[in-house]
Amino acid sequence: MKKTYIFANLFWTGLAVAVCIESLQLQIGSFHQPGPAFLPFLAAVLLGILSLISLLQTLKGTLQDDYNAWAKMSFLKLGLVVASLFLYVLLLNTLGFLLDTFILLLFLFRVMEPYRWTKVLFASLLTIGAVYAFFVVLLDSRLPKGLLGF
Amino acid sequence: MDIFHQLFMGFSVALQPTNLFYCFAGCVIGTLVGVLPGLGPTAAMSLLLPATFHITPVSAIIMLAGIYYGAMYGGSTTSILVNIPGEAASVMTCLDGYQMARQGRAGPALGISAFGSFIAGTIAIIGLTFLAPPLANLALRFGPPEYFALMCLGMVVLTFLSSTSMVRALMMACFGIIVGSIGTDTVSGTSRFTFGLTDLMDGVGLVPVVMGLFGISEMLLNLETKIDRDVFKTRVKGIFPTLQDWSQAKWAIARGTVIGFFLGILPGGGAILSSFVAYAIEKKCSKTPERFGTGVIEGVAAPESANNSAAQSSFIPLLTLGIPSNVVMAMLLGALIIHGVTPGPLLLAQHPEVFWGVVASMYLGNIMLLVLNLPLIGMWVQCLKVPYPIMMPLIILFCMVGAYTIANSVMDVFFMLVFGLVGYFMKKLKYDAPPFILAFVLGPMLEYSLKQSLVISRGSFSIFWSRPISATCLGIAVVLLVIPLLPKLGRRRPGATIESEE
Repeated sequence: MKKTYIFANLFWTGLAVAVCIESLQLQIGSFHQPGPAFLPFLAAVLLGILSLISLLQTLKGTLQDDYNAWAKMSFLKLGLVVASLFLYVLLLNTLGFLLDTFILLLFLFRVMEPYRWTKVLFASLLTIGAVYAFFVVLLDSRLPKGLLGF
Repeated sequence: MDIFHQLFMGFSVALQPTNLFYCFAGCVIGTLVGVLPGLGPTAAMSLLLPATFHITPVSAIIMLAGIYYGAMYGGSTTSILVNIPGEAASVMTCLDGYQMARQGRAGPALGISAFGSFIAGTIAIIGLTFLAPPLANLALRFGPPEYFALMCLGMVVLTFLSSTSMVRALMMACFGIIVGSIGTDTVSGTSRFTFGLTDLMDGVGLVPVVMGLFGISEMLLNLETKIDRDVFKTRVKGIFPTLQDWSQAKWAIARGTVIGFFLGILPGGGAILSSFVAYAIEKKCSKTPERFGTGVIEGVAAPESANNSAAQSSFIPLLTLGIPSNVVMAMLLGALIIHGVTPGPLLLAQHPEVFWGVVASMYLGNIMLLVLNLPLIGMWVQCLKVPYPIMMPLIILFCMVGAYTIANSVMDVFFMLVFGLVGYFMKKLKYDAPPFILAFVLGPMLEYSLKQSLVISRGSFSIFWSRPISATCLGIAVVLLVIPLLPKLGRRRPGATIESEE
């Protein structure tokens, strides 16, 4: 995990520098008259200092960073789920809530556990019905209609 | 007498059928969330926040508060019967609760947990009833420096109690302030860190951030582990503790109540910390500490009383000062603001129906929870049998729809997913999310009070040291920041203790 933490700390340092640069462009102001970027600038400076301290701690081995966080991880399963969620968001307005959600649920139920297709279909339809009834019928929320038109 | 008069008015609000329904709904959802591992009260509250937009502020807060203290009750069921904490504040209950269940005493364990929770919760609400009004009066004298110092103290305490590195917790607080400052600056009207995106002009919403960090990230994390819920296969009988059980547990309940009450008020404290401290103190007070962990009833009574007491008392700083003491209260603060109610010293004067309505609903909610958790225990055990592969897609879907319905914006769902990934990596790399959320919520208020203080003092920081309340708060914050630098004391940090206990 040492390597991961080194990268993580460098990421935080980079973020702090980026926020500082952006803050300088936005106007920090002075102690008498603090500007719009006053607090974000202070926070970014502090974040930068702390990330460097954390980096030093990692390099020195002061913190217990010797565990392997990625040991049990299935990159394929995680990647598939994350990709499906982002794809769902991308297609939400085009396909509409009902169709898009139906496809997402079919996928998620199958990825989580290889249930039989009939079970997956039934669970997906039941879930959509319940969510639609709760949000659209009961709470009068407006969900994207998309291709189906309702 | 004025307090009694106001409380009577509160009961007239809380006893309205609609509010009674939302209180009951909150308690049921809270218990369910507490029972089911993998979904905490924060995620559930953020999930249901959009659903409260259609109801009055007082009904909304009554329901959301019910979810929080309901989860404290429900969490013990899973701890005792499955040896998995339903939510973080019930971790300590596993140690003796599950052992009691294995010895055939699941009933008394569940019973003492529910009765202890009820007693502690009710005493804490009485404390809240009588302590909040004078504290709100005192808070009226608070100026920007006092608010700034108090918020700083809250954030520092939370990072001090962090279960991992304090440096990393502080980093998360800084990150929270930066994310909280995205959007239009309310004073100058300047757009900050929006990258030209109109969706970011109003900043990143609290609900997508919390749903992402606590809901989506948890689901992604659970993809790695197969969650088997091996429910203890004994019929739960004898839920009413015997006289002997009561005599063994009475002081544990009393101590748990007091510890929970004060740790709940403390900035950065709350139900999780208080249950750990109550268990540790109970063990120290016991004449036979070696029996702890083998199934002693005090080991169940103390943490369960403490977490309920803390859940109720943590409303005190939120409702009187407008400062959340922990991440759940930060969520409630966001909910109150969304509903157009600003918590703080003026809440009692401007919205007495909200304040007293919520307080009165807590008395009622505690009674409802006692009924829900004792005779209906079998129903909650059945809920534990719903397979996780079915549950997970449902939770994800509720998060997605919930995030969308806040503003009918796909961008909010997108932000939620982004913060879900951020939360996933934060959990993987042991960066604490609570300091981030607290700083994210407090950021705009912190900025306002800092700027106001500096303008008042014409740029001099002495304003923070020359006023007793702000000087005391900042002094304590500095001491807490220095402690980890001292090797001997640093190792005794409560957060470090929690980690080692885990």
